[in-house]
Amino acid sequence: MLHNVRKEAIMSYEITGPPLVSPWMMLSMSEARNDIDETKIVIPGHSVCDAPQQFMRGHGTFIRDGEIVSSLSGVVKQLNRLLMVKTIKQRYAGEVGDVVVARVVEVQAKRWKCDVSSRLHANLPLGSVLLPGGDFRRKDVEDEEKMSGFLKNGELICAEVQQVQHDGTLMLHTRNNKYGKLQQGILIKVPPHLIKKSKKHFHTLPYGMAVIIGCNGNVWVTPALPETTLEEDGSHVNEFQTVPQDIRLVMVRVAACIRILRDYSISIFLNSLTTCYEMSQPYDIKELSDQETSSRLAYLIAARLLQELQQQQQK
Amino acid sequence: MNSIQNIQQLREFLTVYNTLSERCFNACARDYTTSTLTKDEGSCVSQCIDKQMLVNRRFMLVFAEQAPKALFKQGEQSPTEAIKSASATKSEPVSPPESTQTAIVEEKQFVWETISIENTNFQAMSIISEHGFRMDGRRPAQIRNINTRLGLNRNAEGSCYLEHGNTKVLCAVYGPYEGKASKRLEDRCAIVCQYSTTTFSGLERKNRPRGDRKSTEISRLLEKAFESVILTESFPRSQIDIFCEVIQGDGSNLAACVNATSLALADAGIPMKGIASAATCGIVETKPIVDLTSREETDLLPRVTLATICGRDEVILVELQNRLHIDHLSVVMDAAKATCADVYECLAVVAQQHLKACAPILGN
Amino acid sequence: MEVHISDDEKLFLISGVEQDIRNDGRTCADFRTIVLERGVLSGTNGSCRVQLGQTTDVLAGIKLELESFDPAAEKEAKQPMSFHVDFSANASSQFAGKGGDQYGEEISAAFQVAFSRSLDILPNLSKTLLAEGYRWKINVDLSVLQWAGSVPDACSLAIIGALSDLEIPEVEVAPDDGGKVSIVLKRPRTGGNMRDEEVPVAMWKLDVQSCPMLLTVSKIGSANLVDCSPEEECCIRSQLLIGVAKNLNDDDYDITCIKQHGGGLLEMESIQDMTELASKTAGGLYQAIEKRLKTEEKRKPGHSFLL
Repeated sequence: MLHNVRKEAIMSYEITGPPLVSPWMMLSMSEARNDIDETKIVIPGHSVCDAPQQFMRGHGTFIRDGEIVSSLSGVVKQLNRLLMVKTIKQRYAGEVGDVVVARVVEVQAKRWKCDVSSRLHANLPLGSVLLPGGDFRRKDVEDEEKMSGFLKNGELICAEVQQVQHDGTLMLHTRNNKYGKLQQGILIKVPPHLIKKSKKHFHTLPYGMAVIIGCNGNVWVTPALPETTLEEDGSHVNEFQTVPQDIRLVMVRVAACIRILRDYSISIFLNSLTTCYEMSQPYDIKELSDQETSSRLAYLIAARLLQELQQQQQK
Repeated sequence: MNSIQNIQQLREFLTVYNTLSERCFNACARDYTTSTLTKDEGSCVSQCIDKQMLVNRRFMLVFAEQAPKALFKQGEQSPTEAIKSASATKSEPVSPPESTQTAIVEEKQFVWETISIENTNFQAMSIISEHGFRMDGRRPAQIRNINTRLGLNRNAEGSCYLEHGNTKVLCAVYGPYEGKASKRLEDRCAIVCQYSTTTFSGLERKNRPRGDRKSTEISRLLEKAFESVILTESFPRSQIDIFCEVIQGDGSNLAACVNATSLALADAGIPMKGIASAATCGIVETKPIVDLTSREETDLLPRVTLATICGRDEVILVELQNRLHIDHLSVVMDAAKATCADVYECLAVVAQQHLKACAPILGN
Repeated sequence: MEVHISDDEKLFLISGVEQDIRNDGRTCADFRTIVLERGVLSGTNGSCRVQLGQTTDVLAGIKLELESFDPAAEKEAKQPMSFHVDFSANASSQFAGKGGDQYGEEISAAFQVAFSRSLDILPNLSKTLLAEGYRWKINVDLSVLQWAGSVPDACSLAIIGALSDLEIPEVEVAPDDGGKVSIVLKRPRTGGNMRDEEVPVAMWKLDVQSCPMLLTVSKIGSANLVDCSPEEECCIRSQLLIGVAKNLNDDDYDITCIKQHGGGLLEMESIQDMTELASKTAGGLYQAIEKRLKTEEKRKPGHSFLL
């Protein structure tokens, strides 16, 4: 009954016109954008350097008529005499040590295929998962038969990139009890270039919940960080608890904050997330998806983050 | 009999002429401080006249079709004579009244000359007017306005919305991702292209948005063109999907698709030899015209669609429609190449600006 | 973008909607923000673009056609609108080729049913019947350009927008030789020396304030939801497409059709609840759309609409 009362109060329908300024234009004028050197931005076919004898051509370049030419859209980087182009926006290309949030798409003999929104599906070999009995347990035929008991199609896992093979396939491992299967939570996909790499990608926030910022652009909002404990037969302990309403509301708000950061291409890391969360407090969660509110908020967040960064640099 | 007819013709012509000059004067002359026409007024006057003449010519065409039927009933003239007299009505030279402005007089005489030469070719005439303007007021070598917006589609890796005047195209690029095993290539990535048009895109409503012979052909053309632009060997065993949707087609659809696709690929961060740009060009008499609209395309006009990389000499796609005289080929190709270079300039600016806006704030 | 979600995510989502908190902060009966823009395509007789929550994006275009039909073959007057929904591959690679055809046909058919009595519902639709055997055929084509759930709802808003944008030429019908009729476009008489061809043809517009709309109501767990996101659509137990039309006489709402989409079992009482939710939602949407149509700013034809 209580729910019904709430519904009546909030139910609203709004039909508006298109925004006068599109989200990505909003912040293109912001001061926070000034750290990008416009002259270093190249698009495919643009000349990077016309004296190839003095430089070595690196990643993302090729030689055309005695010029070094970019094959990517990105920023030119120079390392001594090596010229290369680093893309700004691209599909996830893994690096060893990255924490990723992946979804199992196929169970094969001795390995799982996982979607990490990379160019190819990543492999999680049976030997790289934690099974009861510790590291020294030998994985036998019996384990192979029970593979879909450990991880099923469609399930989300958190893993670390162990190796990048020559064709770009990623090898994952979950040999640590902070990795493994993810349970209740909200997954938000953002373009991977917005994720800022840092030492820590698991964060327990002081609001009673946690996030995992996967380097592949999958951000996982969850009531608590996973701590894999296994049953005797190797299946995951499944203790279902309904998430209490107050924690759920916090999670939904954090999810909405991540969407704002995504829409206005502000890079996503612990600080930007908490700043956004705190600055969003005056608004209703539903309002955060509103064009006008979110653009104003995003502008302020960018300004605040920039200010903090400058203060840090002065110290 | 003959003289009466002549007087009648003269009277008719004068009515036409007077309404025309009055109309142009009312519409165009704004500045009464000088005796000569200002630049704006001049161009307005010439466009006014163009329009009027065009209408007149259309009437003549209809008249030429209909008059014989009517005349045959009366048994007075043969069809050919009717057409002759019809065109004679039009091109009767008359000295204009002295009070009209000199600019108009000059235009008028010019008209008279061209009519006598090109009277035989109504179709060609309707594409470029005597003053060198096309139906939408462009010069022959002028492209329509290009408007673009990148990164609209959140589900796709790269996307682009592009307008060439009234031609509106949406393109999305998915990938590179691990596609179907049947399409997988071990040494490079597979490119899958689909061209479709909304059912309301053309003048007539279509029943199917895709799957007909023409769309499949264009899909294949785009596929082949972009296989030579994308550095496919850097993504072995992957697949890139390119989807083009013509929301509104007003000529040069294929060219617009190529342009939209190159921007979408650049947005997706896929390595390429360069940004490809394309243009459709036709030829009227011996004059090339660029970036055709659908009204210009419906005529039996030879037209070439050309796509190059970075506006340079590397051609990735050529398509010819209708017959073209071999002597005209080089003229059309040169015009098309020059237009591709112009279009490339536009696309390059857009791509670079968008890239800047995409970079994450405080990413470093 | 095929959506797969794990059982645990589903569990979280379902227990959420039962607490009336959805993953994007909405309540069960809330719609995402709707963006509606008319007159976007100059090549059509009427057009409209609708976005739901900045992701589901539907474009509607109407082409008029003069159709001749055999009055003897039709027992009762057929309504002149025909609907066609197409999923563009741009929306998702799963719609490439024939991928979206089945769902598209299903939605088109549902609209056809929801509008089947529209001659009685829309006050001036019968004006499209010009003479015995001739009528304006209204081809409403919808293209789904971006997809993030709730396509039927976005489509019905786009249809209302496009129908209100539609301009139908006034014609004069005069009897002609041999039992035929001649149909001539009507131009208002004006003074001055305007020639006939330059006078714009007189146009009339449809009255859309009671236009039927098709809403999806989904049962997730024990809750009824409107406007589902793709993740929510994965958890649906059962979904109903409900056609609702405003009744101008008593200011209440009529149900014009109910259709189940997908599988799933439903109890009789749930259907009652779901239709109630649908008519309540329709009430809110009618008000919102009426307001939007009134306040929409006039733009010059052929402006570029996605910029």
